[in-house]
Amino acid sequence: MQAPDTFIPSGFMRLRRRWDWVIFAFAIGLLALATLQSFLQSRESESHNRLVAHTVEVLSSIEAIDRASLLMEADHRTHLMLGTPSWAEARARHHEQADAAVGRLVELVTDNPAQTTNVAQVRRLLGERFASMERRSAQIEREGVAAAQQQFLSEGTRSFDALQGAIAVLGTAERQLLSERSQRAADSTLNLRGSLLYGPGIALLILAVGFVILRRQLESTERMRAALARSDAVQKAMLNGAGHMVIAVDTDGAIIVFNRAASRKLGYAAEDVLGGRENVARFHDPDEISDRAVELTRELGTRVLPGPEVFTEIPRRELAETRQWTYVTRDGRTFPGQLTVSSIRDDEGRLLGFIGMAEDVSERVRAEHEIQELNTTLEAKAEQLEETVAELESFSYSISHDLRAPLRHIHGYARMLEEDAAGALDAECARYLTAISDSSRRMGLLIDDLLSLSRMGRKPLQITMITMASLVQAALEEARTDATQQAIVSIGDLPDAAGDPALLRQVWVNLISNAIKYSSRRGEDARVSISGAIEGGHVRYQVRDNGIGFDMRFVDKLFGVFQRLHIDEEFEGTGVGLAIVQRIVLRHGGRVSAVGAPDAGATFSFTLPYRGPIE
Amino acid sequence: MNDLHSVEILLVEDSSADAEMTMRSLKKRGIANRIEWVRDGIEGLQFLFREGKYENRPIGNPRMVLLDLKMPRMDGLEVLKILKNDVRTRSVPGVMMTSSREEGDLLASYELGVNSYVVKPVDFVEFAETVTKIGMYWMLANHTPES
Repeated sequence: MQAPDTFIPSGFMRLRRRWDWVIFAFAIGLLALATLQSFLQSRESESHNRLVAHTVEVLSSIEAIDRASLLMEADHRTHLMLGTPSWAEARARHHEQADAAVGRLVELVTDNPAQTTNVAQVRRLLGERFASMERRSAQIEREGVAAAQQQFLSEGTRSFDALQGAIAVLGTAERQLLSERSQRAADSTLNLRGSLLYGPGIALLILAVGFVILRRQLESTERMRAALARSDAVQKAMLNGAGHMVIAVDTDGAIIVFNRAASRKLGYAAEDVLGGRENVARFHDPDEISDRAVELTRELGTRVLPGPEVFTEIPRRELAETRQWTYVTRDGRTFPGQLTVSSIRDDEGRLLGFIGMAEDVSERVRAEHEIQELNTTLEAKAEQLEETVAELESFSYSISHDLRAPLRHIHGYARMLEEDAAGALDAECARYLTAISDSSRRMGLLIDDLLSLSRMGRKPLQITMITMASLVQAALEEARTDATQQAIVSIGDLPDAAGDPALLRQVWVNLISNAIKYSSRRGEDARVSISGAIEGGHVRYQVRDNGIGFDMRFVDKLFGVFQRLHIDEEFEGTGVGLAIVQRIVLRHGGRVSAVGAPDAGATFSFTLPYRGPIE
Repeated sequence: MNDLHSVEILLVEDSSADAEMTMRSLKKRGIANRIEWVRDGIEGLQFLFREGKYENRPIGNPRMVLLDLKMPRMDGLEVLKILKNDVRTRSVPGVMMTSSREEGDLLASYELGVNSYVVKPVDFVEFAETVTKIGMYWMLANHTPES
């Protein structure tokens, strides 16, 4: 796996690097400057020293002249006293020495015009002195020692003093020079020492600063590396913990990420596919890839080869693409996967590769298939049901038409017999006829109620908001019309509700009729109370009477068709009324319930979904 | 049309029991004495248009036709359709009598121009009253134009 470059804020790093270069160049420059200065300083110092040495050499030459001239003078005087020619020879030798020294000195002081003049003076005076000495020697030979001595004394030491003076001037000037130059040399040495000190000082400082910077750089690099390592670990954990297959490729198509889910699902070890050992087309159905290549070639207008390009051509255009593909595992099994491919780009938008995340959608696909199958089955069942309902409808039509006719005939002929043979029949026979009539009429009622129940179940609901108080009032009037006995009926709060008014009216008529009927035995004490209340998402309505009630053991039978808890003669009824009530209420999404006890009255309740006040 | 021998009511009814009860009720209450009873729609049309065994009957329409809905061969709705689409019989009141209260029948009858629609009650007393009321209304109270 590769660490993402984007983790380091590269712009910042570039800035740091530029400043580093400036500092480094400055340091180098400073160091070079210091070195140069030291070099110049040392050269200067060297030249000063050379000048000092030169001056010393000049001085030593002057001294040599002085010594040689003094010795020449001594030789001359001894010669004058003794008159021997050997001293003249010694004198000449010393003159040569002095003259040679002067010659050297002339060369040494060519750079110094003042001294050159001085040296010329010395040379002239030396020559004159020596010439005067030569003349005395000649006098000795000619006139003898005494005349020469006389002449020497008379001439005095003037020319000798002048020579001595000139040599002294020369020496003094040169010593002056020496003193100046020595001073300069000392100064220059001092400077050199200073520059020799501060150059390495700067170098040391730079080294120290560099060290600190380097150290900090290292620390920051270390921190960054730790952060990278951590981010790397987090990424690895994410990739490997993910339930999705994650596969990334570089721009050459080499796989650079292959997470654990991919490995598990596809059956390849990461090291067997990473770095170009496999291409991603390997994990897919080749036919599907060819088909998609053809499709993409058509859509994009450029040739797309049937290979890994089919996954990357659209993401390459900076659009993520999500499609369902058939994956093929290493051992040849297939499964459907939902794959999303997006491009990987750096900060400048350069394409680095592609990353695909895929989810195994076998379960979903299977569920969809199942749902489809279920739907097909359901549709078939619904068709069957519709057929059954149609059959039932035609059956109930037959009952209505075909059963009612014979009943009508039974009843009709019994009544005709009753009418025509009234006088001929005894009381018992007349009662039989009445029983026949009653039974057939009753059966007619049963059939009518049954048909009405089936109609209630079939008729589409016409839901509107109902003003329940008026509906109950109307139902109460209808119930009273049919009733033989009258109870005292009280009506409480009746919240409005949504429903089919015609059907709900039937519910109220049936419940109120029952309440009046079953409380009729109490005569004038018969009481019926009607009320309603909102309970959560429902409205509950109830009809309570103080009639004969019922045994709670049989409560489940109350709402069944033809279920009656009281013997026929006791109360009129077919046993379908409550079944109709239940059918209607259930169709409205409500529930019915009953509470009662023998001779302690009964309370019938039903609920309707509450849809809030009318807006 | 007040010929003493002319038929006052044509009863088209396959059930002999219903026919007997209907005729008894109408006669007993003095609504009509001359009632012709035919067993199905074919016979009913033959009577109305003087065809088949009725080709020699005297000319004239009955003052009312009582039609049972369900009959063999041709049912009441078909008879009504022909009755109301023929200029000769269009003005004759047609009353549909049926055992059924099914809506389909009701709507179909009204679409075909039925003048009355009654469900035969199981109770004979009610039945007799219903038949009587129909007879009274269409025979006595309502004078239809002569054809």
